[in-house]
Amino acid sequence: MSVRSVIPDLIGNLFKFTPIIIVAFLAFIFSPLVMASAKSDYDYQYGKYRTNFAEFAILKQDYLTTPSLDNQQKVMISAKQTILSRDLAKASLDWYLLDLIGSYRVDYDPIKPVITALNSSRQYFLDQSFKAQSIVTEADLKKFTNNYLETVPVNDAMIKFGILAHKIAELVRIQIDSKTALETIIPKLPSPMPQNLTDRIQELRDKAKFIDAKIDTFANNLPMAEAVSESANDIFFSSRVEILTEIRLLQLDWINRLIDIDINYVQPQI
Amino acid sequence: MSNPKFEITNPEAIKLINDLKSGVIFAPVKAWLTKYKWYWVSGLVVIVLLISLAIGKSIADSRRAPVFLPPDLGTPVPTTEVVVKSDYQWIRQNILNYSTELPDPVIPVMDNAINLESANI
Repeated sequence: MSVRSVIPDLIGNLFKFTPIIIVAFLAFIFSPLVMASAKSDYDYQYGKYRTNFAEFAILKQDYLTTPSLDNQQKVMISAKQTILSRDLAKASLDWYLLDLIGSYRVDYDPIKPVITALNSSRQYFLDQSFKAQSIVTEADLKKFTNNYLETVPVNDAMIKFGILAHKIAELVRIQIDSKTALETIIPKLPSPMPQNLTDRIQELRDKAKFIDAKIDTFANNLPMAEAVSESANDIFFSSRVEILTEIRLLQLDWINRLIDIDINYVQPQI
Repeated sequence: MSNPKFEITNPEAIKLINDLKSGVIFAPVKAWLTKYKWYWVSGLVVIVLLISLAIGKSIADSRRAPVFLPPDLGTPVPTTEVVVKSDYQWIRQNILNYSTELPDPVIPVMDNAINLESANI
């Protein structure tokens, strides 16, 4: 077979596979858009739980009204599916919170116990979803649920602590970015620095320390030891909103001062 | 030398002369004109109208009113406000986007006591 006869064959094959190549290329380009994220996984699992629970409620009512063997079998299958989807949804929620916290890329010690607890909690829910598959009889279900009700409160509580850790991580990220901005801006300031500008920079440093201390106090006072009783408290979140709002306002004031210095001393005046 | 007298002797010529003199030769033309008198009168009226329009147009063209245009004001130039932007606005935006509403995300309601006993649904 000569080279001259091979080339047209190659070109022919290339044309034949062109649509496949195009589709593969598009799939490669758009694949990140359709990849499952922690959020989408959680949304999916929770949606599945809602569907399964609605079905379980109807089948349970049927079984209680007409306790036949057939109805019992149906409701047992539905109960297993509901438990599976419930615990997978909770595990996904833990994963979603871990993903949110991780997205801020902070290495902040006070929230590390919460991160560890969230990981343990996620594993617990995954284990429970696995255990639920061994439920066969009504007695198995009762035993499983009783055991679950004893062990789940601390793991449910971790979801609330995870939400707080997420908010803290976001504040810490803002602090890190703000301080980096300050260190970046200092070499660009006029030299020698006017006294009033030196004072303003010192003030920013002091205020940054003050905000850090506020965040530390808030994060170090998360009542992990009494997680279950604390999380059951109605004011668990509302009592902490005020301090978060205060820190946010302090950060906003801080960055406004930094931007003012940047505009007046660093950015070219047109 | 006497002036020789020119005499028409051709009977046809004599007849033609007599017809011209008496007007008999114009009789068919007169009859045609009489028969189609409204056509040519109308035609004349149309021609007169067209000529009048042409004259009127030429007079109007020669006496066109002058066009008065406003003085050129030039194209409007938008006033631009010089805005100096900071490189750190994105941090400010992150702070503004920070939600203090809790719980965020919202905690879903799930039933922990799934069993076949009554009265909990």
